[in-house]
Amino acid sequence: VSGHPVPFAARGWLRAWLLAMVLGVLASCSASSPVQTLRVGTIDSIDELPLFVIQEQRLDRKYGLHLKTSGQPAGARIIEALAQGSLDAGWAVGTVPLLIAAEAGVVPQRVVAVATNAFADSDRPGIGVVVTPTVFGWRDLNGALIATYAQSSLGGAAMTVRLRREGIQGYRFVEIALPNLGLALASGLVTAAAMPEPFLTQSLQRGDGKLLGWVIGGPPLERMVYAALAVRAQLYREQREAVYGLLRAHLDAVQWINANPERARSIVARRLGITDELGRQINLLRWPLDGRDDPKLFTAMQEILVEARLLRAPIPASRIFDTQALEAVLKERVQ
Amino acid sequence: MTPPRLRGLATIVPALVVAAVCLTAGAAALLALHFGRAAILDQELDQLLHVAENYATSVRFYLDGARSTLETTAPLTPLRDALAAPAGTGERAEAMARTRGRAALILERSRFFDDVMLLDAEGMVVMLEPASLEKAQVRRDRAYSTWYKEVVRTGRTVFSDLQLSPTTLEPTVVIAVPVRGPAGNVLGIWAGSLRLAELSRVGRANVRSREEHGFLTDHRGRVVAHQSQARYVQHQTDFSSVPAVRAALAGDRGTGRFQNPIERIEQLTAWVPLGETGWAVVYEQPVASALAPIRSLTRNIMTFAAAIAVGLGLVGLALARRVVRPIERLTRAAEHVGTTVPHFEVPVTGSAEVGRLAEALNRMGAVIAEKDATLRQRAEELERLVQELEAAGRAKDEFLATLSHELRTPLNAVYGWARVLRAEALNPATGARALEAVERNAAALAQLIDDLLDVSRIVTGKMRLDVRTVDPGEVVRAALDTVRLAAEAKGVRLYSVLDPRAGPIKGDPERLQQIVWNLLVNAVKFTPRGGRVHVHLQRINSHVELVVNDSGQGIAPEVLPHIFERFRQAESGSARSHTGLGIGLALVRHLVELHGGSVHAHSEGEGKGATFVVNLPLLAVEALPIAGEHVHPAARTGRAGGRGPDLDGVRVLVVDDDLDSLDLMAAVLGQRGAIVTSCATASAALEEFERACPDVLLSDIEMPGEDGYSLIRRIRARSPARGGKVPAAAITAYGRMEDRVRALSAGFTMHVAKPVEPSELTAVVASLARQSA
Repeated sequence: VSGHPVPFAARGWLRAWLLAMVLGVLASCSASSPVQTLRVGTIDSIDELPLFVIQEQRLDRKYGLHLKTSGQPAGARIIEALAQGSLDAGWAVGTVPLLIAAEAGVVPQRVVAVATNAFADSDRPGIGVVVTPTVFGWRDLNGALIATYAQSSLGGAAMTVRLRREGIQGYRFVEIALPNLGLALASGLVTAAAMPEPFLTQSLQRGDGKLLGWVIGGPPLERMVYAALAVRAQLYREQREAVYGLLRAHLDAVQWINANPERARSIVARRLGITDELGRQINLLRWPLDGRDDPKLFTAMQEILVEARLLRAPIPASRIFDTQALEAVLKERVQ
Repeated sequence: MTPPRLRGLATIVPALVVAAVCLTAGAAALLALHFGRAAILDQELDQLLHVAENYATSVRFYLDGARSTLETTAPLTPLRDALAAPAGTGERAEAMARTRGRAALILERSRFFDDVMLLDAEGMVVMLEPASLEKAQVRRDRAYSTWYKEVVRTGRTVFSDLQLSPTTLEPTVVIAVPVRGPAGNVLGIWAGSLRLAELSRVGRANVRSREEHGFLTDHRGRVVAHQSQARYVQHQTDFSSVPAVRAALAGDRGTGRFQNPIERIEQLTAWVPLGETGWAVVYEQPVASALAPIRSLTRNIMTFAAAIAVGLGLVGLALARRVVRPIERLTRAAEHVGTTVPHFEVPVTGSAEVGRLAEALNRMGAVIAEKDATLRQRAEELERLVQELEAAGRAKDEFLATLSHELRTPLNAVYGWARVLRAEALNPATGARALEAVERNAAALAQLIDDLLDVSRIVTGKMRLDVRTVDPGEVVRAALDTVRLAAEAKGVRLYSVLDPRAGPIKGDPERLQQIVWNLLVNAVKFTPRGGRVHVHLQRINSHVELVVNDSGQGIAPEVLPHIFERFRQAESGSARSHTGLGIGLALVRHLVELHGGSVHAHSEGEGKGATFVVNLPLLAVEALPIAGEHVHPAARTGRAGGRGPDLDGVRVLVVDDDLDSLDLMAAVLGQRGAIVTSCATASAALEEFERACPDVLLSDIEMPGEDGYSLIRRIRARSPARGGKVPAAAITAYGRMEDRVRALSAGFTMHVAKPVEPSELTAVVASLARQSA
C-alpha cells in the first residue's frame, strides 16, 4: 500500500518555524529600508514640541528619517549652524533671528524656512517678564539688570521695545541660558527676566519671581509669527525628499498636538526635566495645522523689530519662507 | 456533511505534556513572584536606606572637605591683611597676592570649587580666582545674595542654596566662611563656588545598578546634584512636591514607594536629611529594577520549564509516533477499502494489539477483494445483459414494425378485393383473379401466423415433433417442387444433386420440409433474376449434409454471426428491399437443433452469394424405405384444397360472435348438406342445443358474456341423453399449444385454429359426426 504521508504535529511546528523565519526576513527587510539621518538643532523651549512629538510617536521613522538632535543655546545659534552646514534642520528658529539672518543674506541663500512652526497671541502668549518681588511696575526696572536668553532673540527684541515704550532707562541686559533665568532671579542676580515656556511657569511655580507682563502675546507683540521650521538650503535644494519627510512628520505632529494638548504638555515637561504637575500648567503656543505663515502679520510685526533697531526694514515673508515643498506636501495630504 | 477534523495522538500527547509542564512552571513562577515580591521589596527598601545613608555620608565628607578647606585658610594672615590693610598700600597688595596664591592653591589641589573669592564686609568681591573670571562676572557685589547676608548675620560658615553664579552664569552652591579680625569681628567672607558636577559624582562608586541613583536638593527642593541626570541640575528641577524630598527636608529619614514626577515610573525611595546644610539626600531605584532578581528567577524557571517541556514534548512526540505510526499505516490501508485498489496487505508490525488488528484488516481486505471481484463480474454480466436487452428491445420494435408491414400488405389485398367483389359485378376472369388474390394473400397471412406460432412454440419449448423415419431426399424434392414455380417465375435456376444414400433419418417430415423450404425460399428471394440456386444432399460419415448455395447478394461479415437470430435481418426499416419477418432462418436453426443437427452459413461477402449447410444425424439402423411422401393432413400445398366429404343430414350447431365467420362456416357446411344452426352467443346456443339436439357442436372460444369454455362445460354437464357427449370442436384464433390444451381440458373434442379452410372444416365436422354416430 502506498499511502499519503502521515499528518504529524511536527509539521505544525515546522510551519510555525517557517512562518517565524519569513516574518524575521520581512522584519529585517523592513528594518534595512533606507533611513536618512538629519541633524537637528534644539533649544530647551516649548518651540520644540513638534520635534518632541515626532520623536515620541516615531513619525521620523514613518517617513524614512532619523532625527539626531544637538542642543543649542538659542535659535540664532541654530541658524548659524545651519548656515555652516553642521546642522540640517531646526524647529526652534525664532522669526527674529531668522529676519536678522535674512538681512545678513544668510536666508534664503544658506538657510530656508520651509514652514511656520508656531504663532503666539494673547490667548497663547509666548514670552513673559518675570521679576523679583521687589518690582511692582515697569518703572522699577530703571537701572536694573535684566536677563534674556539672547538679546537678538524674540524675547530680547520684544523686551527692548517694551522697555523703550515704558520709558525705562539705565537698564542692562545679561544673556543667561533659558533654564537658568529663573535661578538668576531667585539668586537675586537679576531683577527681571524675559522667559518663554515652560521655564516661565516653572519659575513662577517655584517662587523665583512674579509675572510683570507678556511681551509676546502682550505689548508690543500681541500677535506674531513665533518660530519657523528651517532647513539647510543645500538640503532643500538637493534632497527634497528628505524635506518632504520633515514636513510630513511636522504636519502629523502638529495635528497630534492640537488633538492632544494635555499629552503634549506632559511631553514637554518630561523632555525638559520638569515635573508633570508643573507641565500641566504651561501655556501652549498656537501650532498651525497647515504650517503656512501669515504674510500680513509677518510684515506688521517687523515694524516692532525695526523700532527696536534689530532690523533696518521689513522683509517680505516670501523672501523668508519657501513654501514650494510645503504646498506639495499639503496637496499630497489633500489627495 | 463535512466530517469533523480530529487531532491525532501524535499532536495531542506532546501538546498535553508541554501544556502540563508549562502550566506547572507558570504556576510555580507566579507563586514565587507573588510571595517573593513583597519580601524582596521590603528587603530592597532596607538596603536602599542603607545605600542612601552611605551616599549622605559621602556627601557630608565632600562638603566637610570643602568647608574645612575654606575654614582652615580663612584665619590666615594674608586674608585678614588683604581685607584690613589700607587700600592702595603695598601691604595690601602683597596680602592680596598671597591670598590669590592661596586661592589658586585651593583650586589646584582640591576639586571642590569652580572659583574662590574674597569679599569685603560690604559684599564686594575684592579677589576672584581664577582671575580670568573677574571680567566675566555680571556684577562684582554679592550683597544681594542670601548667603552673604547670612554670614554677616550669624558670623558662621554658610552653605548657600542653589545659586546662579554671576561669573559662569551656571548653577552653583557657595560655601561662605567669615574672615575675622583679631577682635573677632567679621572683616569679610572667604567663599568658594562648589563644583556641582564633581558633587554629582560623589557616591557613584556605590551605585549598585544603572537604574538606581541618588540626588541632593537644597532646602527649597531644587536639585543640586544628581548622579545620573545632569539636566535636572541644569534645569534646577524642583522636587519640593515629592513626598520623599519633603520628608527629608523636614528632617526625617525613611523609605517608601513613589512615582517619579518626571519619568512617571514607580520607584523605591529612601531619604535622609543632610544635617546642618538643611539639604535632602534621596536615593531611588525603579521597582522593576528591584524586582529584577525575582523576575530573573521567574524567567529562569520558565526557561527551565520550557526546556523541560520541549524535551518532554519531543519524547512524547517520539512515543506518540511509535504508537501512532502503525495505526496510521492501518488507517491508510483501511482508507483504501472501497477505492480502486483491488487488494492490500498491511505489514504485521508494532504491538501485539496492533498486529492482531493488522491481521484482521488483511483478512477483511481479502474478503472484500473477493467480493469486489464477484461484484465486478456480476456488474459486467448485468451490463452485458442490459445491452442485450436493449438490443432485443430494439429488435422487437423493429420486428413489430416489420410484422405490422407484413400483416398489412396481404390484408390490404384481401380487403381490397373483397370490397371490389361486393361492390361490382365482375366478369368471370376478373372475379377468378380476385378470388385467387384473396386466397393467396390469406394463405400468406396464415403462413405468417404459422411461423410466428412456431417461433413461439420453440421459444417456450413446446414444439412437438411427429418423429418418424424419413427419407431426406423425398423431403428435399417436395420442398423443391414447392418453390420451383416461384423460382421459375423470378428467373432463378434451381439445381439439385441428391445422394440416394443420404438417409434415412429420424424426424418430423413436415418440419424437415419446412427447414428445406425456408432455406430454398430465402435463396430464391435473395438471388437476382438469372441467378442460380444449388441444392446438394449427401451422406457424410454418420450424418446427412444438405447444402443450399446461391449466387445471390450474399451476407455482410458483420451480419453473418447473427443470421440465425430471431427477428434479425440484414436490412431494417421501411427501405428494405425484401419482405419477411426475419424469423425463417431462426426457425431453421431451432428445427435443425430439435432434430439433433446443426446449421451453418457462409458467405464471401456482399454480392458473392451465400451457402447454408445443414447437418442431420443418420439413423443408427437401416430404416425401411419410405413408400412415398407422407403428407400431414393439415399440410398446405400452396393451393386451395378439394371440396371434402359430404355431410348430408348432419346437424351442426355453430356458435361464433363474429357473424362473418358464422356465415362462412354455415355456408360451407350447408353446401355439404349439413343442417346448420347458427348462434352468436353462448346463451342462444344453449337454448338451441336444448331444442335441436345437434350431432356436432362448433364453437368459438372468445365471445362476449359467456365464452366457449363455459359453454362446453355446461353442455358436458348435461346427461348423454341430453347431448352431454356431443362431439365438439373449438374453432378459435387462439392457436398456441396451451390454448389447445385448455380447450381439450374444458371438454372440446377437437381444437382447430383459425383460419380454417372449408375442406378442413368439412373434414373436421365429418370426423366428429362419425364419432357421434
